[in-house]
Amino acid sequence: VIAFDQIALFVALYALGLSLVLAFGPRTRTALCCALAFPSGLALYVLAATFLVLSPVPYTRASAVALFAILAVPSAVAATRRWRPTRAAVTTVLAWSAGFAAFVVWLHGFDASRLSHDSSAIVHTGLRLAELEGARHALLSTKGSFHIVVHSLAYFTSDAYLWAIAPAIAGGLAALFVVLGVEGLRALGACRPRSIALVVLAVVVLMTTYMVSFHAFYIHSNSGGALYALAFVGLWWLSELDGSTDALPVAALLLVAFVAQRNEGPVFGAILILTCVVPSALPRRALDRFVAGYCAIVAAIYLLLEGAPHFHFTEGRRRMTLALTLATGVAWLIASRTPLARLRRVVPQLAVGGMLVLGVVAYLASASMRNSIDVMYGNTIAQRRTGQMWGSVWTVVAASFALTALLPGVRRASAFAWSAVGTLLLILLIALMHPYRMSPHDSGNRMLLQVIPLALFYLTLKAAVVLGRPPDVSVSSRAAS
Amino acid sequence: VPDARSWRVLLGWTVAFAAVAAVLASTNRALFDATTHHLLAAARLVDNTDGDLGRLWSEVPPGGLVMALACSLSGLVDLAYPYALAPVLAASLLAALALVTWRVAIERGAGRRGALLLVAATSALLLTSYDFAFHAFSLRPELASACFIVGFVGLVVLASERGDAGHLPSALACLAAFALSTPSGGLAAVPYAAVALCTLRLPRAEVAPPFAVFVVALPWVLAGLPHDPDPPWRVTLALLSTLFVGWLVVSARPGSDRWRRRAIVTATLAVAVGCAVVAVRAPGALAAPDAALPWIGLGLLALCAAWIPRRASSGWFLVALLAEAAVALELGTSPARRFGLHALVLVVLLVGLRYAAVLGPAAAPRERSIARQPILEPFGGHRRLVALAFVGLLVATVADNVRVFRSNQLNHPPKLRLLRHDGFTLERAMDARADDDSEADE
Repeated sequence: VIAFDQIALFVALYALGLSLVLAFGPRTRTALCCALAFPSGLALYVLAATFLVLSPVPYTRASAVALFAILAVPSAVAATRRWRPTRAAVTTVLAWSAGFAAFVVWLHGFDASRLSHDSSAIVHTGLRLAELEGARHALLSTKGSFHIVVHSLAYFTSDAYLWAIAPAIAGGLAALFVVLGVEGLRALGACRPRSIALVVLAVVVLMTTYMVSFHAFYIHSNSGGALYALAFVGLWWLSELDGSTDALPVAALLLVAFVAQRNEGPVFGAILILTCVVPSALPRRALDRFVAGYCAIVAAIYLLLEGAPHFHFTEGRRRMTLALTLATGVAWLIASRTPLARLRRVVPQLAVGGMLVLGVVAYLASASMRNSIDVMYGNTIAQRRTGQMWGSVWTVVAASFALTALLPGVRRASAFAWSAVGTLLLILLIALMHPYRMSPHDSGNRMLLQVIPLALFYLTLKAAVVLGRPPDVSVSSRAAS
Repeated sequence: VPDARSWRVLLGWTVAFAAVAAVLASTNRALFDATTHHLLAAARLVDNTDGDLGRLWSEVPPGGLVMALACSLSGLVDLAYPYALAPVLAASLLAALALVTWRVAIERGAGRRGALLLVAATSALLLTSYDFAFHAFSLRPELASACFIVGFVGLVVLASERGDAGHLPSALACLAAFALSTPSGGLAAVPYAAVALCTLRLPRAEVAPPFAVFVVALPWVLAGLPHDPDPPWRVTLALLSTLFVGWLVVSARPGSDRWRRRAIVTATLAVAVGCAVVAVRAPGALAAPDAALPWIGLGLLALCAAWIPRRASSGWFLVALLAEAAVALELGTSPARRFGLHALVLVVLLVGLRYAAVLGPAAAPRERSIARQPILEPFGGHRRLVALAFVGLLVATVADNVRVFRSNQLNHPPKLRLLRHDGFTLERAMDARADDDSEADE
């Protein structure tokens, strides 16, 4: 009998995700589908399992398997109908799948995971979900629901807990970064070996940053946040480049997964909607469906979480979050159907500008805010008392933003920049309600993991496009003359 | 290979220098004060510290490194102290100023008689000023920095007037020496370098190499000092690199003259704002008698700047002078006496050049077309250079990340033993969390 361990679980989730992405994702980009397969499969199953946990149906091995079947069969059927593979595409899928399986087998072979009290709470609460009868929704609000449900899957495996999930997510982040970069450069006509090498170099920078590599083994929600933020914004950008709405269902799934990483996730989700969805040139009907689906799923989760125990996530905050989610949908309806629609293109600038003004006012008015910003500076740049967790990466990113301002913009890619800056400002503003502390494991410091892949990808893209295109003929001829 | 005329000039100047130095060294009229004693004490340490430069550095008065090293040479000739050093430096400064004024006047079409008159007038103006005369007999560090800055500005103006980039290495050597002889260190040199880059009317391919060497060499020398200067050498390196890369990028663009003009106007505004900020932050500095002179000087300079002809780009060095004053005031390095001397010699030089432009028939400097040299051609234009700079940043970051990995001593959260049935309950987890929170609050 083959034990159902993490290897089998991850491969099953990968297969689920692959069929989903080939059916409802960017199926013309096979490599991207493969890179998105594991994150999408994980997101789909975990979100479905979240509703299962919140429902009266018992959360047992039988119900979990039934749920998997309910999700997998329609996805597989849809994939076989919609995907028209070429020989090269089949080869890509087979090679990638074999590589993924080998990667998971390797990860399963050693347990390098690091755990704190937060990690322990996530793992134990997840395991407890499957043991408890009734009142399970109470457990989901102890941390963001996503990782609690993820770790509940360990109950159905022969392993004590999912020590390979954090490195698998980090590996997914690295792979997605490269594939998104290559696919994007190809769409922009700048895909040459030197530009691909730059993308690979940027991934090396990202993954060798001590904070990122530490979270590749640290059981928490932040590397998941980084993965899903990059996946959503990247997929949205490619959809904009292609002018295609095929991948929007998967994009919505990725956005919901990003939101579910933390209890205050819908606030971050609203930022990504403002920076990606609102200024989009895609057909309005598709955007309507996207926003409606997103709001319905997130609102349903937060509605069902009523009466959860009160840690930092109080009942008042749950209601506020629910109201914000509904308000996001209403705001979209108004913004897309009134004369305000003319301003859609500048909404990211307005949103970031508004947050900036709010931040300045808060900085001047609140000592706690000033202290939190000092702390954030200490955690990221100065790093005197917190160890060199970030190294020089934030200084380099800030300098590179100034440097690459001299380069021409990349088509539709400003969503990355606005998302990164907007998320960064929001993290700073959250300090008004939850002051930060000088520690590498501080909440604000960890949330910056969501920002760094977006910022680095944007900067890399600008430079890679310049390197990937033929030299500027006008400059050469002028110089020669 | 120098021609016969050059040899004659070299020989004449050498003989003249020896004669003047001999006359000046024949009598000791040196003036002493506390700074002089510090300087000479530090100079003696050079011979007696057995290479312990840290001790020497602690004894040197602010900005006195070059003069301390120069004074230490007196041990070679068995002198107690080099009492003739200041007069010889003053004579050299006077000669340099006279020569630059002469050459510029001739270049701008003035007759020899007019040029000679101008040189005599400016030399007399300088010689009769109390500040110059005082420093000409005082063993203090200020005269050396004034010499170097006049050397730099003069050579840059000459390079621009004659279209000869061969002056630039010497000019930049003067600027580096200036940086080592002021308390503000490399920071004081940055505005002068910026003005030179913005106003030089020379092919880029000839300007870029000496400046590239300077951008690397000056911070390297500053980094080699036994104590990190204030501000640190990294600040100088960052500012100079940014300035140089910015110049490389901007000057490649079509209409770079317009960009230069914008840059220099922006810099002027920035300096004005900087001066205002310094004045607000240190109002006492304005009221103190010791600090009053720079501000009187600034007022005069602003007045003079309005009269400088628009095409005489050397007038923009006044902006650098203002910036130097702002930096010195901000760093609190008692700029009055030093700045007074710098301002004096530079104003004399620049006003002399302004009159040189008026004397001759070719009142305006020759229009020179700045050929856009393809120095960025190997990179495929400035955009490619920026992209490559980004690649360089990423490579450096990877190297730094590896360093962080090796040196990180952080205590990470310990790995806990997790068992499925270890008595865990939600209530216990909540209690543990509440304990943690209360401990954190305490």
